[in-house]
Amino acid sequence: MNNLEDELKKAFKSELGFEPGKGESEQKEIGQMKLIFERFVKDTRQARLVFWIFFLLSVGMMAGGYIGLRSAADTKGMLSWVLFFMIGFNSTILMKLWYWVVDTKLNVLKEIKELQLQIAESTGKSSPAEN
Amino acid sequence: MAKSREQIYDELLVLKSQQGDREAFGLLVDRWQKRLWRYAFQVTGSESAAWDVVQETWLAVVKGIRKLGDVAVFPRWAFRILNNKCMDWLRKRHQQNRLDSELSKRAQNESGVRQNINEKTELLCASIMKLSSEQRALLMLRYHEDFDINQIAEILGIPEGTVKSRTHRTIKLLRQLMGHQQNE
Repeated sequence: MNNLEDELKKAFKSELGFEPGKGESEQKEIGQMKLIFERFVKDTRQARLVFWIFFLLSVGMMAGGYIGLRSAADTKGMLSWVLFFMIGFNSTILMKLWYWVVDTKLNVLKEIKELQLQIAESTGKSSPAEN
Repeated sequence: MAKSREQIYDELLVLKSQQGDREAFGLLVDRWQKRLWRYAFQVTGSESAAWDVVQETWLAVVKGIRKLGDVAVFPRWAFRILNNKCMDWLRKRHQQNRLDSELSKRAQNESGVRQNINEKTELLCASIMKLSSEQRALLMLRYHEDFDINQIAEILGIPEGTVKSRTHRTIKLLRQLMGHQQNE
């Protein structure tokens, strides 16, 4: 690396004197962080809501299928209601499975990262490379 | 490539945020807010515009963080969003020239506030202010955020070769601006 590039790094590390100003800018930052945080909370709630809507829909299908099966008069009608019931039943299983897979994956990754962080903190060095 | 503690910590925060951990997301915003703002300010040249652009970026991050497959790409991803938002802002306003002068003015005003900066760095800072928004953005990503050429290419959405040539041209221009050309 040549001299100018070294100087550039140094100049940028000195932040070129650019820090968000005080007063109005600080207020804007606080307001902004609040807004972002609120959006995050809203988004998390929305994701949960979507999950529960689909889950209840699937349970509803199961219940409808079961009631339909009990009240069906002919074999063809019974088979249709069984199919309806099975779709609802499989949807609940798939949703639970999907949730479990995603949650487990995130938990395992989290554990790995925490372990890496502990190693890095105890050795004072950066963590080993990942594959 | 080995990862630093900071990188691992960021990745952990992203993972926790993906699970809906509010505290982790708050920490993530806290850690990245100023870095993103500095970049936005370098590109837009306006303090309030930088805040607006950063806010839009965070809202996009909130929307997409759960879909982020590899948490290690978070910095690149966030900067790519930010860069796109900055470019949108510049395109909308068409006032690059005015902003550049505003930025130079601000740099001049704040030069007295800067401490521990030698004369050479001062000259360099003044020269940087004369560059265009795109050139400043490139230098910020390369020398402030320490991104590789391929990472910068990903953020800016241009080929690696273009990043190399643009960096080369910008450095050359900077040298000229600083009066370094006679040393070459």
